Amino acid sequence: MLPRIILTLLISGCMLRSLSGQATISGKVLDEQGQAAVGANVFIRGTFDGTSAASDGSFSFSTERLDTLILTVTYIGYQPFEMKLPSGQDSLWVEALLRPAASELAMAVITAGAFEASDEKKSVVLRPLDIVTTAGATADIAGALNTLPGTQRVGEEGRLFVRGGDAHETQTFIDGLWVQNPYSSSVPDLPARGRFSPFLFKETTFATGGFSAEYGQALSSALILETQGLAEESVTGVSLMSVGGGLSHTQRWERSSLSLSGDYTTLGPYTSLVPQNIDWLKPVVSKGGQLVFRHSPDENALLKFQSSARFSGFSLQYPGPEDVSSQVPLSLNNGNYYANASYRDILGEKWSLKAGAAFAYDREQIRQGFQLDRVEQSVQAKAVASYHFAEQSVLKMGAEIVRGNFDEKYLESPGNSFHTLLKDTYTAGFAEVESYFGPRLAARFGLRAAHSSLLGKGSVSPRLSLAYKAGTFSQFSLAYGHFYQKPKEEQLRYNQQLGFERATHYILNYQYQREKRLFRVEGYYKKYNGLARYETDAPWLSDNSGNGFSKGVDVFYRDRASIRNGDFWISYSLLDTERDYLDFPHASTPSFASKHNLSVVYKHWLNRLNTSIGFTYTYSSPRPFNDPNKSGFNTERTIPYQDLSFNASYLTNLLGQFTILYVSVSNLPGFEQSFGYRYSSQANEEGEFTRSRVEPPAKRFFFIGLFISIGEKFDD
Amino acid sequence: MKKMILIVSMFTFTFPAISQQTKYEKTLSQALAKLEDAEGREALAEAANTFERIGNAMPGEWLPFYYHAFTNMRLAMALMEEGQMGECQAYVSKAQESLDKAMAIEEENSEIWALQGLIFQGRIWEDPQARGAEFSMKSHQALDKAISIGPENPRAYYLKGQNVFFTPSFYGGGPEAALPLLEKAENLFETSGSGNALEPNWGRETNRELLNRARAAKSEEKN
Repeated sequence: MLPRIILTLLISGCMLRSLSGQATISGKVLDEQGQAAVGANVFIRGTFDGTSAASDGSFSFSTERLDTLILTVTYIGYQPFEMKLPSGQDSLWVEALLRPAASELAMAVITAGAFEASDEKKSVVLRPLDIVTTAGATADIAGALNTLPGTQRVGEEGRLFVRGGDAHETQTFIDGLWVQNPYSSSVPDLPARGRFSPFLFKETTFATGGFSAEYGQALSSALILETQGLAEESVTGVSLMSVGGGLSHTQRWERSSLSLSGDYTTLGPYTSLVPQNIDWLKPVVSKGGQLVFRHSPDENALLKFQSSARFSGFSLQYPGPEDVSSQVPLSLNNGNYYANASYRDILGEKWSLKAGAAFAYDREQIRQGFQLDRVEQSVQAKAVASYHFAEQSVLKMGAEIVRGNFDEKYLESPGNSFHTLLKDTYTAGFAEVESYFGPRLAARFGLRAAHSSLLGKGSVSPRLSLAYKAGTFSQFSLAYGHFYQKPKEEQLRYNQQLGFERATHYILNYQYQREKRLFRVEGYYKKYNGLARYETDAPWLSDNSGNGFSKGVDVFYRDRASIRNGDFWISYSLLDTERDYLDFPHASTPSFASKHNLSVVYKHWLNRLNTSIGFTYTYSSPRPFNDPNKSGFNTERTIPYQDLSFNASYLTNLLGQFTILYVSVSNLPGFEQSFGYRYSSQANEEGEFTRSRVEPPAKRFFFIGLFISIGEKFDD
Repeated sequence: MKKMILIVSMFTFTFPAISQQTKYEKTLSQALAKLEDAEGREALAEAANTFERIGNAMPGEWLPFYYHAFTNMRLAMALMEEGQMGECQAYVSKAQESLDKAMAIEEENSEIWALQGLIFQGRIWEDPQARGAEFSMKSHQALDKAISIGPENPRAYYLKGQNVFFTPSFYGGGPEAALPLLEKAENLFETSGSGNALEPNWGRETNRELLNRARAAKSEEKN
């Protein structure tokens, strides 16, 4: 009895095996264009059985004839192919058609209007390092971005002017939060610098138009900066510069990092050595400190906090307020505090969250006979939730609130003062969906609603972007949107009945990117409505009847392949713009707009010398300015602006520590640079408006710095 | 009786499992022999396919995924030498995918972390200027982890030596700085060996090559 059972069991086991037998599977693997997928891996899931496709894409192998056979094909650059085979067959013929993998480069990417600098993404124009190494930029973010098309160089300002827009039409955002004072404190005609070091950021998106509904209160442009994550390692930095010095220390723990830094800048010794166009009484002194903290409780979550404080001041002989031909001592003192905290986390498979808050305080005191005391403060909070409803498709929803306080006391003479107090609670919400319709077509549609308590008015702006991948290397993009912004404080102080100013953007972009070469050309039309406008000397009677337009073409070519160890880009912008706003008597090209702007940036790595050198040439065509002594408005023209800057970084080892020696000089050939004239507000006894020439602070700017990083070495 | 049936049924059920294990070892050792003889990209791709199939059949074993990752890195290196940088990175990505699977099976494995160090080196090739700093650090960290888990793993020292060898001297790298690491690897290559023919044992020749270059650079410096 017993042995029989065993026997039966054994036999049935063997029978099952023999019954299953072998099946031959053959066929062909083809890609989407019908070409043989040579070497594709063809196999049955969960078994050893399979083979590689031959040079004609054909394959043939045998496998055990199981009930369920799933044929799998893998091939680099393509999505895995899977197919359930009919059971019980001795031989089968299968044709496998592969679909290209949704790789980053094969997919459409929304690029209209935006220049990105990132190490992580592929379809970017710049690397973060480019911002630091661009000659003429002096490690200033705005300076480097000024070599991109769409910007107009306004040498006496140092700020970003985008596509015929005023500087305040470009707003800066750090980790999604609006920045109240992105530039250092300055007086008219003395160029400002960005407050934030480019080394703070791992990603920079410079949108010259058509940007996401997440960002508002900018008519022309958004500079979107994403700070670094956890510091990579513990390191101490020492910098010695011709204009001062700095110290920093970064400590890295398993899940946290903390950096503390401080710097002291003084232009005194420098201005006494190098001839200046300015008669400095007390050259710029600036001292600041910064704290950067990061904590990542797990892989998906990151808390970022940064805070800074800076005090700066200077005094100089400056054109008098009434008569600019006279020089009257002017002093400026500024204190600035900034704190920004943000947190992001992935909640489950489909949701992610970003939330942040920021505080800013800025106090400015200007003295020149008159006394001007200004305090700007803001607190804000913002939260954005993203729902990833399909692969590469996301729905973003967010809300923000900014409470701002602008308090300015102007004392012209005892008993003659003017006080401005503007309090605003700005609230906004947005929703935006970004989705793919196949790998070739990407679309983003957003809606933003905002309200300002100061204006007592709201706005709703639609935004739309499309990207169509026309070929392996080329893409067309399109963007459209409405952009609203509060009028400047200079207008609101007289009249708070004003409404939002509005710009409508239309952008068409073509981009060709192949390996290390990138070409893009973008045409745009921007229409301004509702700009603040008033009759001369009656700013309290302003209304939103101003309007204007900007249209133009921006061309960009970057090539990192043609010259060995060399890298260059060429930017050209053609701009045609006119506006009828403020006290303009009629539509006219504003003084910050130049028709042609050209930048050529070249960088070269000298391997043997461990040195990188760079040149930047810029040209801006004449800009208009108004001469009140002439009939007509804005009829005068500045001379064209030209500059050729040079920089070099020598990488070396000083006392066993990694060290960079950096030198830079602007206006190497000594081009004549002038930004027109400033005119007195009152005519003199002869009925003439006196004038003073607006020039750079010095003919050339020399800079030399030594940057030492003291950190871990390659020992074990 | 019942006991008997149990034994029998155990026998019939475990029999295919045993054969699966034997088949695995046999197929893997054949594939390794092929990899050893592989010359040119076609043969490497063929070997990579075999490792992928073995991994597909034996999803609980780390070695097939490890070798699949390793073979893809060799393909990536071959493409890099031909100057095909775009395609090269596709293989580096594929190597990372497979190594992730190996890592999911065995997290504390010195060989896996050593290969992770190599894959991070591969990330640098795409754009040394942009990626050099970040990924050379990541590579170092992975190799340090490999050494802390397996202080006798010659490949971890060899790859670390390679890292230092190609790091510019102003960052504290260069052939001379790499010398002690390459020498340590050389010694370990001589003495170590798990005895299991399926476990990784590559790197001896390439290490020696680099070691000779480092020694030559040092003596050149002296003269």
